[in-house]
Amino acid sequence: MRVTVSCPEALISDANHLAQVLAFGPADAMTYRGLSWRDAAGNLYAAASFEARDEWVIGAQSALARPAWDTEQAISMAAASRAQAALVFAQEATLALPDKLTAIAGPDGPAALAMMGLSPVEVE
Amino acid sequence: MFMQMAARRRRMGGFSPLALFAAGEPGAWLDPSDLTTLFQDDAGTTPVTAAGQSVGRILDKSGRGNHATQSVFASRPIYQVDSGGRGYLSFDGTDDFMVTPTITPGTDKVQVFAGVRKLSDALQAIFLEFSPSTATNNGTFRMTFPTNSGVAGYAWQSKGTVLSGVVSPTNYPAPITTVVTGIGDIAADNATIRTDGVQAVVSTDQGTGNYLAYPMYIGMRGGTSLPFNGRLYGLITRFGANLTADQISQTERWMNARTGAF
Repeated sequence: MRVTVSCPEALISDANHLAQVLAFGPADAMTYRGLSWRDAAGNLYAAASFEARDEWVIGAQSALARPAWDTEQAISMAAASRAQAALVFAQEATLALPDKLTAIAGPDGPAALAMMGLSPVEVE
Repeated sequence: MFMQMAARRRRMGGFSPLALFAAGEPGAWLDPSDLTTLFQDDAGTTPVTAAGQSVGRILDKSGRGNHATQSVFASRPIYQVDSGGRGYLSFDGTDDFMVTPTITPGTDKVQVFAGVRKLSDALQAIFLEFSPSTATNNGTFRMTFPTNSGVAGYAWQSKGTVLSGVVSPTNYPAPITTVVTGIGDIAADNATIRTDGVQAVVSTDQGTGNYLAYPMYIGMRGGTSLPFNGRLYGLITRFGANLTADQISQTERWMNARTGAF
């Protein structure tokens, strides 16, 4: 299942802790980077889109557990929990908000971001 | 099927892109049709074995060791196979990209051959960029697919100290499959784009100097913006002496055999 997530600027750090819990390793601390999307009010967001395993969908909505690989406790489980509490999981159009981690399941990334009311930040 | 493949091989005359790197030319040759070069993780420990798996590492077949990688799970392209049986990397137009190690060209000449399918013209996108940004770095180049938001073309831009711009005609509306060739020669004031084996546009001044040492980004600008929405069937980047018209044509036909564009 394709899942696309928009992450507001204020939640990037917390969301990257959650991404490490739900994915595979420390490199996933860079899942949300580049504030390349904006909403109608001008708030900035990073975005990620990926094929999510069933485990990801279940894990994102269950009690979080520190991954076995994180033996040095690099992940802040408190930060990951804050991000999880801000997660809105939808299968229909849902506007992104600057205090929510918005995830839409189903459509491809650009379509999902449009359903969140986001447009790209013009560069160059 | 076998007879078609044999006929195709005869037309190619046994050509391999490896010949383009025979004199030690820097660059990279990425070939998603070769499943042995694809790995699900960036360390290269878990091979890709089936369509639908994410790709964290694709080996460089040029012999230069410039393997492209992606360490972040969510940003990895997906290996897929099209209806013609051709393998490709699917970039999601959101956050997928790969990057090579730093390549040191030592020359002011480059040739890039790309087999692509562009799925959208809605938003300007970086298919390929040498350095984190051609806007802020000298000695670089980029391929922008589509050219600009809402423009159904391909762009090749090369830069010594001045960014040249050559843009294909705009009769390439997405979704469309194309072999795009970019040729840069800074000192000779040559920046050329070719589409499907036909020369489209030539530009001139790119300033001075060589291409400088940078990583090459595939699918996004610096991994942060302008995400490409489409398929990569193959990519050859070669820094070195200008190729002959026959070498260019052979390489384009080789790429087309893996792309099915023309």
